[in-house]
Amino acid sequence: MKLIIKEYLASLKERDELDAILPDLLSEIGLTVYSRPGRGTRQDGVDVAATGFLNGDVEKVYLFSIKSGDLTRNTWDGDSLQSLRPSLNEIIDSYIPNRLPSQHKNKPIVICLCFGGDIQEQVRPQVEGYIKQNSRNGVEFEEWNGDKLADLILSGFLREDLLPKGSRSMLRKSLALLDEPEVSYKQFSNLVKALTKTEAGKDHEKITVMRQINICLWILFTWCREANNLEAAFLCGEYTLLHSWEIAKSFIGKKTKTANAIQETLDSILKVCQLISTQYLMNKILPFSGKLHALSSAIRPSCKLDVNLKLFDVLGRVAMGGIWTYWHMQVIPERNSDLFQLFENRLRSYFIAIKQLIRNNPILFSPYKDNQAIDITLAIWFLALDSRNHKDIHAWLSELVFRVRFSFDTHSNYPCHLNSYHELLEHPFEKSDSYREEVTAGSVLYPTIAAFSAILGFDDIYSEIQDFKNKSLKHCNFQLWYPDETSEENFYTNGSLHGATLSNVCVEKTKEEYLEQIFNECQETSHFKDMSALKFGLWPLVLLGCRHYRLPIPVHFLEMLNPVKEQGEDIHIKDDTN
Amino acid sequence: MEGLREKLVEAYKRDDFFKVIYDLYFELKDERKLIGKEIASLHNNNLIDAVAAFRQLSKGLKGTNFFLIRNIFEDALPEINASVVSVMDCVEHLVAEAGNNLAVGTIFTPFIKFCEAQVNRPEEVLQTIEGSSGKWLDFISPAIVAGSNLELSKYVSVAIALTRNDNLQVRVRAVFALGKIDYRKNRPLLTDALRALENVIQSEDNDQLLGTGLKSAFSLYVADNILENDVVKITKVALASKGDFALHTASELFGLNSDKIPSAFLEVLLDALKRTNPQNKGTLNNIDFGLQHLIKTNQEEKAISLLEYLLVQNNGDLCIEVFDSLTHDLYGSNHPMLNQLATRWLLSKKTPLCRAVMDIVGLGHEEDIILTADKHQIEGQPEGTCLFAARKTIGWLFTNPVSCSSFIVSLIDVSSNEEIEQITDLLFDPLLISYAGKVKDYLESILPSQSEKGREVLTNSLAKLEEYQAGIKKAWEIHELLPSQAQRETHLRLFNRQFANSYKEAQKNSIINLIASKSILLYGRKSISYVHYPNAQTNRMEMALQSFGHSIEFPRLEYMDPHGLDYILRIFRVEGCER
Repeated sequence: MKLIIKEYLASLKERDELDAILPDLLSEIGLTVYSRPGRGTRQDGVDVAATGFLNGDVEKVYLFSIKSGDLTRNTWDGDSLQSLRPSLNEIIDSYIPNRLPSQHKNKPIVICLCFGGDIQEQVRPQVEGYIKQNSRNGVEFEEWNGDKLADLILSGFLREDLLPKGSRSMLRKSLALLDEPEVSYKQFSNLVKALTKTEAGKDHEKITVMRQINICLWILFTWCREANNLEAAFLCGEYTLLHSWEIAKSFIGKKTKTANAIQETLDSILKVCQLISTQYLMNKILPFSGKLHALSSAIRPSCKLDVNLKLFDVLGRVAMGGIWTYWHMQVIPERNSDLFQLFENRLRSYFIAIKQLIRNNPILFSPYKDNQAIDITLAIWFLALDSRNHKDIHAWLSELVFRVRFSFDTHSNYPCHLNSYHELLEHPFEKSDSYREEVTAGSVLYPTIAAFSAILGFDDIYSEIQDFKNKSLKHCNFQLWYPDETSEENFYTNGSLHGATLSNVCVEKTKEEYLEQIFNECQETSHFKDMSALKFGLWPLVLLGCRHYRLPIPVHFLEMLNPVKEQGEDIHIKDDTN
Repeated sequence: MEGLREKLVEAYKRDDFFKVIYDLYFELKDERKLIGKEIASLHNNNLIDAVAAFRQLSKGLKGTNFFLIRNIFEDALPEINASVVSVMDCVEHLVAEAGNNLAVGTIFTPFIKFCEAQVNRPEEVLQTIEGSSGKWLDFISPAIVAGSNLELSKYVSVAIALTRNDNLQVRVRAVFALGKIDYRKNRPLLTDALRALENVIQSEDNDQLLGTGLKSAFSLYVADNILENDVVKITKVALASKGDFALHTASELFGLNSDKIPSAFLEVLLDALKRTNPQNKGTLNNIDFGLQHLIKTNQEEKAISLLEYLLVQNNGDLCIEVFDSLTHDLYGSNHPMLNQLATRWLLSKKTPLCRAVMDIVGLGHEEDIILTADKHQIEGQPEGTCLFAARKTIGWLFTNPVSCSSFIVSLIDVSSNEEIEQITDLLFDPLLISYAGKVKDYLESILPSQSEKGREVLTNSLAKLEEYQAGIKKAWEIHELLPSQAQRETHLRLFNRQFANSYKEAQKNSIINLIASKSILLYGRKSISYVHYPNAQTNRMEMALQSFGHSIEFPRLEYMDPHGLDYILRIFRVEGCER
């Protein structure tokens, strides 16, 4: 285990990646962190500051200056602003005399040289010389290298009584099987499930669990990054975030010490998930979305089904990336800030990417599974945020419906409610009407397309769905899903079946009547509005849960699009697609 | 052969007659005819009763071959002295035993010779038949033929009289006999026979009778060409009934006597054969031979007209593969003709003809032939013809990409500038995208030999491919997108199962199974076997195993855009076509 953790620590590429777990680690070993890393703020060389008792010693102040990887000649005293020696000088010259909180002024100070790897031998004499020269009464230095951090992690929140052998084994297996992401995900999700079982436990146990899954996710992510395959990390990130929310949701908004600790760790988990998602999308998907067949080809498929399944999955992920970006923009108070600008640019790149993805990978005009409605909904919902995308949505849906009908009429790969790979591989198993009726007995895809068409004013597509229903799908139960009173309890962990389905929605009626029916149902209960992620403003989590656990997107999200369109509040972003 | 006589007598006595005949058949090789003659001699000397013996010959007799032994009887029959009834009984038995074999009727030729051996025998046969109330009708024609060889005038009259018999089956045999008689250029008798046939054909509506009459009328024409006009007239009447049997007879005349058919007669036959029922494979086979002959004798237009008519008229029920002799000729050796047909049919706006091009080109499976458009057919056509042909070619020949590309490339020089641009795009998408191996190699190989216009198109298409491939190559390192091992294995299992089923299905028709037994070797790379010789010696033999394999290029668009490809190919196939 120690080697695994050392490997993880050594492979952290950015300083703030080590920042992300150090405060949790310090808290877990009994220190009180009074200063956390902050973006863009000068801390006079101190990245993290804590006080407390370690190893039965007197209470001391620990000031950490953090660097990633090994300490080299360059990172010790190079040209970079991030070199360690200048930071240490700032601590001695500025932080200790001027910024050390008054309540800690009389305590002994330990300046910790913190880095994920080791000190390289050629720089060690200089480091030791510096320490000797600057050590004095009340100020001492400690080297917190990868080895020490790994020991602390192992004796801290991954110690055996907290992370038993079985769980360690799951972590090891998930790391060993990174090249088989589904298996790795299975192991990791079992690990998360095992750790989060302490539902009824004490609050401090919950904090520990949150920290454990945070560091486990970090370990997995860094290993995936080294293996140049982020798939397992992506899936595990979503799973971890959803499970973390289940633990954290009861602490959100509270001001207790425990609540703060949990919220901070949740924030850390959210950040690593965003980091994984961004790296996956920005490095692996978006650069190739503009190339004809590039992503379809990259799947190196055995058959067209492989391309179909993967591309719709990717579509959902890109849409989620865009939705998270939109959420970030909404929570940033300063609309003129650089950060807002960054997210706005990113949002635009997601719009472009989705449109290019569809245009250059035509399999996205032909869903094979009815539940690909989830990915389609995410993509349309996201694109619909900007009215200038509406004509692209129309073009996509129009062609999609045409191809679906063509496939249906020719007994080719029309959407069905089969889900297992082996069944889909042989679909359509036979070209008979009875088989076709059997595998298209129910659908959320068509009513969802009808709903978007009605909302966005695509009357031709709405009529096409009506015609399709009338001529070919009379047997099919057009349905939509709504959360119910058990959803909040089960949604984030996919504990058991939840939600309610509105059957036989009235697509055959006018679009106004149809929307009235499906939106009225939204008003019938408050279960959706009562979902914790919505109450506390983290609404993309609901969409993420739907994507991850393959649940239809609640109709309430579609309802949100109406005001956006009518009030003209859509965000206007320069479109470079065409 | 020394001792042959004794062997046969001994065998006859031992009740081992057929086994010995069978062995002698192989033993005597070039002198096989002697066996029959010896049997006739033994029979005539009352040493054996050959007729009674062969009356016992059964198809199920073990250790022998029915037809070989019957052949011996056929050799003996002309020289045998026996009662007509006993011989008729024996012959009828041997015909019945032969079942549906093609050689079933060969025994009637020696029977005719048997009848000719004594002048009263034909009449005796006819009297026997007359008194048998409908039995032995198949002997009418041989008896008349035999009789006519002895007394021509009398038996022509007998035959003509029988064409008016009350019994339809008797009339059929009599009409048949009129076509089999050797008139020895006796024009009055030929004319009488023709008139009799004319009467029958004009007064009868039975399909079998009309067909038989048609065949006999043609025989009369062959006997004396001066009867051509009358025979043509009779033929028209016979074929007007549109009966399957009559049409089949017409197809036999067309296919098997094509070198003897006069022009006017051919026109009548071609016109009638357009009405052929696509279910009648035998008729279509004969037409196949006739078409092949027409093309070999530079009468292509006639052949193609009939072929096109049949294909279009029977859309969906008849495919060109039925005419296998013709299609193999076209595919194997007559490429100029194939090029003309491909151009004509792809431009024809008739889907059955376009499908026929696909079927012929598909004969080589994935072994593509080079097709070249017939520019004479394209020159002078309206703007857009080349593009139309190119799209049709892709629609129908997509699975034979080199044939498809070669045809499109041959259109370039006669295409307008507007068409060129779209043809360049078509060569890239869907052809080069789908078949980046075969089509690219082919286009590169012909590039130097192209005109300037052609070189420009090919260079542009290949450049598009290069740019496309550069785009996708960069994405090949995205490990995140690979299907899982479990999915790959699931697909492989399905593929293997489907392959095994196809293999099993194909093996049912494999000739290997008929000529060799199968044994499975589980290990090793050689098969060891021992050959045993009569002198108890054995010889050890080792046979090294050979491996064989085959690979095909699967079109990439089948993975990348299967439904778009399917749709566009369907569009290309049907656009502009008559419904």
